[in-house]
Amino acid sequence: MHPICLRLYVTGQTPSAERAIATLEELRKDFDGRISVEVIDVLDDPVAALSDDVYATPTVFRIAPAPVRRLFGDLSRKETLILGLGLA
Amino acid sequence: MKRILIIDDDAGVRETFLAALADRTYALEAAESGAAGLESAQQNRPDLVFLDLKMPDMNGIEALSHLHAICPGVPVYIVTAFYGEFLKPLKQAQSRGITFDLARKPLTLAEIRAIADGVLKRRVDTAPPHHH
Repeated sequence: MHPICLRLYVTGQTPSAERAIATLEELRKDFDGRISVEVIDVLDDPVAALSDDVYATPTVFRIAPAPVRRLFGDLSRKETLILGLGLA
Repeated sequence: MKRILIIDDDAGVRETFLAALADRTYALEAAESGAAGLESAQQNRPDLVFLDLKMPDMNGIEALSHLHAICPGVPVYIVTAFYGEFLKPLKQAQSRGITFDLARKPLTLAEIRAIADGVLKRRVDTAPPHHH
């Protein structure tokens, strides 16, 4: 089973960011720690956000395994993240 | 009906947002300045605000502070071509507990819809995920 690397871009602690972080934490537990999540505040690292072509926050990327997938929108539901990021 | 307020001094940008969201069931309001946007927000509390940063007279940071006083908790998307030059005031606003999300101009029509639907349809949850 390949490890899954996710990268979440947020702008501070907005309600949407906190929901996304909470959902990703649930997923991390569901996947028995196979998922690692990196959280980047675009105000702390605007270069990274530009490099990943983040057009809005919060946005989550599946960095590995390839191919890279991006998901924006309602990140508060596990099912949405599993389907949108191809985690199943 | 959910209400969206667009605050941008550029008429073309306002038109783009209005066009992007025209087929959605949202009430749309566009304001050409921070002051006009605040007046609108005071009269009709929005459920989502798209706010430009670089505007004459009252910039977006100032408008954002007033917005949070008038409509605490309203989701605000700061929409800007590059927020680098505003990094310091944005972080200062953040440290004062003012929350906002960022969106980078130019936004496509689909991206505008994805942002609006992502914020406003969360509870209804009928919008499919927007993914590449």
